[in-house]
Amino acid sequence: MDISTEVLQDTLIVRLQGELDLHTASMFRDEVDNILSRRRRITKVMLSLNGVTFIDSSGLGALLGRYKKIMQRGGRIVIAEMSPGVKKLLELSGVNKIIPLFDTEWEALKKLGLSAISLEQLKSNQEENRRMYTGGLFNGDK
Amino acid sequence: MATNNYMKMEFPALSVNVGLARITVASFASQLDFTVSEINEIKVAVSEAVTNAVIHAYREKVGNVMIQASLKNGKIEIIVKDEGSGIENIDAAKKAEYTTVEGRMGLGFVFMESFMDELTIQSVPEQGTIVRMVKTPVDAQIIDSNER
Repeated sequence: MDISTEVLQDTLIVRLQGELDLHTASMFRDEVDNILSRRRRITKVMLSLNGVTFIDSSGLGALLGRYKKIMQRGGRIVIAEMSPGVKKLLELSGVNKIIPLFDTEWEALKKLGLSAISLEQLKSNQEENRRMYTGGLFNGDK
Repeated sequence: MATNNYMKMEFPALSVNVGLARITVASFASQLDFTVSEINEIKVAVSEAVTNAVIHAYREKVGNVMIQASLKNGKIEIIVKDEGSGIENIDAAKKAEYTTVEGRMGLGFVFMESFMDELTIQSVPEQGTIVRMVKTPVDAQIIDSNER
């Protein structure tokens, strides 16, 4: 499981890659809870599941656990970009009735009320990352 | 018709082995004509069965999980067995949101039941639990009913 995080103002963006099960759910939980406890200003979380290839009830439980955590400080959480298999489990378990699902990160972040400036900033960060990929630094990796 | 085949595996009840178990069984299952979506369902069911063994079966000792999968008459049968504490109330355990461990969703048996064609649970307190699951590829079911 690969976890990358980014903080934009009061929003925490978490991007997950790999399989979210009993074993990896604890890594995800620790990483997110650690950031949330260090940065009390964060009230919004977007979980991007673009690279998640598998999820089971342990993974769903971990997502719901972060929902409870962010609700305790009066915040909001959304999920973006999931594969059909992952989406099916989110719906079957009823998690989609608790955490809103969005097809793209942009829609999800807009829903969280991120300003146009922040979205621009995010875009330039992503372009920077892409340059690092195509620039040979991570060649063969993707 | 595919040849009858079987596999067995055994490993300590550690969370790191949950992924190994579902990937191995899914790879074995792909000898039948399951769709990608059906293979994913098998993965979830195996993951839930093994996760139960890891979380619930061995609370005071470290024990093993045994898996046996067989392909017979175009079906896969998967047996997940532990020699742990057993399930006190199987009917309660099968209900959604029932859990004995805080912070868990209680969806393990719900997913096993909805993703597999058959689910049987045998459990004896302090002796262990045997979960048996069977699944047939949907395509095969259609061909089967057309031939009848």
